[in-house]
Amino acid sequence: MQKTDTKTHGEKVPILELVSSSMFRHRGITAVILFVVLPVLLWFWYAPPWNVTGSFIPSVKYLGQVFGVLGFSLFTLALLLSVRIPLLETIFGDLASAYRFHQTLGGLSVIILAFHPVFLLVPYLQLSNTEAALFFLSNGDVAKLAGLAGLFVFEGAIILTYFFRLPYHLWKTTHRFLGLAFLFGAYHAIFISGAIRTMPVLQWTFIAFSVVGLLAVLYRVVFHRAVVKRSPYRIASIESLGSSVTHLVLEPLKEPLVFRAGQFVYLNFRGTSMRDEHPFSICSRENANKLVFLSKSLGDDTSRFLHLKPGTRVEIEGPYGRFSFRNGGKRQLWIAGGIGITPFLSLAASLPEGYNVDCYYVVSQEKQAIALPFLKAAVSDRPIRIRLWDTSRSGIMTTESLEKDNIDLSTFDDFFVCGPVPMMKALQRAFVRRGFHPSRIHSEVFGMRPDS
Amino acid sequence: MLRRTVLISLFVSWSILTAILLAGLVFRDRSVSSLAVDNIQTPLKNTITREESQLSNTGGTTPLTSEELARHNGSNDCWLLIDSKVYNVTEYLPRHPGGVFIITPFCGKDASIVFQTKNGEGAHSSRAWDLLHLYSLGDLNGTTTQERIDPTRQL
Repeated sequence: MQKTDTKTHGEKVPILELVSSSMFRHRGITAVILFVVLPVLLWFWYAPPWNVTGSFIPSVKYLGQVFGVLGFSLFTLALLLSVRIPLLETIFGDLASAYRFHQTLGGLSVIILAFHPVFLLVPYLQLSNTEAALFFLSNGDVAKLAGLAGLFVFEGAIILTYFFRLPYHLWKTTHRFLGLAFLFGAYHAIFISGAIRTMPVLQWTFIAFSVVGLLAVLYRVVFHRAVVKRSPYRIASIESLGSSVTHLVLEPLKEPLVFRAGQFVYLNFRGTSMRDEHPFSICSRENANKLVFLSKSLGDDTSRFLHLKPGTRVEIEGPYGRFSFRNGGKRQLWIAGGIGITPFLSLAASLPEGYNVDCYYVVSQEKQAIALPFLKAAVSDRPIRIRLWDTSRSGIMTTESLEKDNIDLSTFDDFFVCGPVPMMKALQRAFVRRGFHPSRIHSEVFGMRPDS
Repeated sequence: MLRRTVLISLFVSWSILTAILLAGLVFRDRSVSSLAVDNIQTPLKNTITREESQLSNTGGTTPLTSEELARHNGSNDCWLLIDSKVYNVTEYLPRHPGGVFIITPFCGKDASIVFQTKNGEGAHSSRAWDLLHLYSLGDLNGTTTQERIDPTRQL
């Protein structure tokens, strides 16, 4: 049974949601450090670094070996963080944070592993170029070849992710090859003839990591669809609102979804031209029977939205996310950029008494404020002041421009921001520069891709 | 930031790896022997002239006994016993990919298993074995010449 707290907000709220996001962040960072540092410490225990000091060549080789250990651990953890399980939200605060860690650790892993063979080659260079080349080509050693193949696939998939904006379904397919890269890497880590053969505890740790990583891949690629519970809904209505925004209403076929304001779900339109499931913020009031979504076409599957017909079956996975007014004090400033207004529609419609909110809806032109009527309807008679910010007239939003708009930042307990990533990052930095603790700035960034 | 670091890292690492591959495979060593003759302060030159030196040097032989082996036990004078043969690897030590300190504990001792298993790390390549033979002094309990022990005297 979930523990509840009735003192802070005058209503029953899961106690975890009352813990600040910074605590979640620290918990996540601690988990990452423990996971990654353990194998490196084991390596140091078996092969203390002071045993190789004083000589350049062994030091470089040693560094190459440590990079291998560290890179493999980071790769394992990055895979683990790609799994959509509630435990990750408990550790990292929300799924979006776990995915940000996933992206960062994946990037760090490929950087570190890229230099793993380079450092190991250096000692052979002093012998001869040919010795170094033959070492690199593995000399028929299967474990070395597996490592090399894994590195190729890993780097290829990361290059496609970072530097080519592939359509979502293609990117997803290429990203699945990371499982293959990990399989090769795991074989390399376990069977490579090297110092690790003399380190049984580390070897068993790598075996455990390999199992965990491969299970994560299997779960994500194969079992996820079968294992995860989905709520069946159907499309009640769908209409275009202009500016590439679609208004979608879903009604439950069985029990309605239980969710909290500000959360998001994955929608799966099976049997339609929309091949992939996508995350969407729920715009409806908390635990509403019908679910409302606003979708902006991003040029991928979401552009096929309008081809969907009322009556189409939709399976919903979730809810996920902890973007909630409950994570802050009573006096809040909400800033929504463009389609980032969606979670605020739900928050506004669900805001209980006692809160005092200023809500900015930032658009590039006034006519782009498609969701304004929905926002006004959601606010109803709640103490939320809606302010439209047209950047074509008022310029980019900054803390200074907010103050010119008669906003006294010092009166706010917490800031909630959702919108384009550059806007959110700029505002987060600006608030921190003004002396607000990062834990008071809540943002909703979502996407598996680093460019999303 | 991360994106740029990934790009730079992949570019740098692959530039190095490609350069090494090209240098190693296009300008491939003709053989371990030629490598040694051309590039290394070499005991091979001694090997090449071994027959002549043995012919010309009737005296100054040194018995390769266990006691003699044990005397060459430091990084400045390192002999190894590997599969009943004695090797003077003193000059090679600084070039060992695994570093000097991997070998020095075995100087003056039987390093057969250590060499065969790379001290538990696997197996040396055939090129490594070829290279080792360039430093051979002879069979244990046989004899060797002063020129084989100290090739610089021959050069």
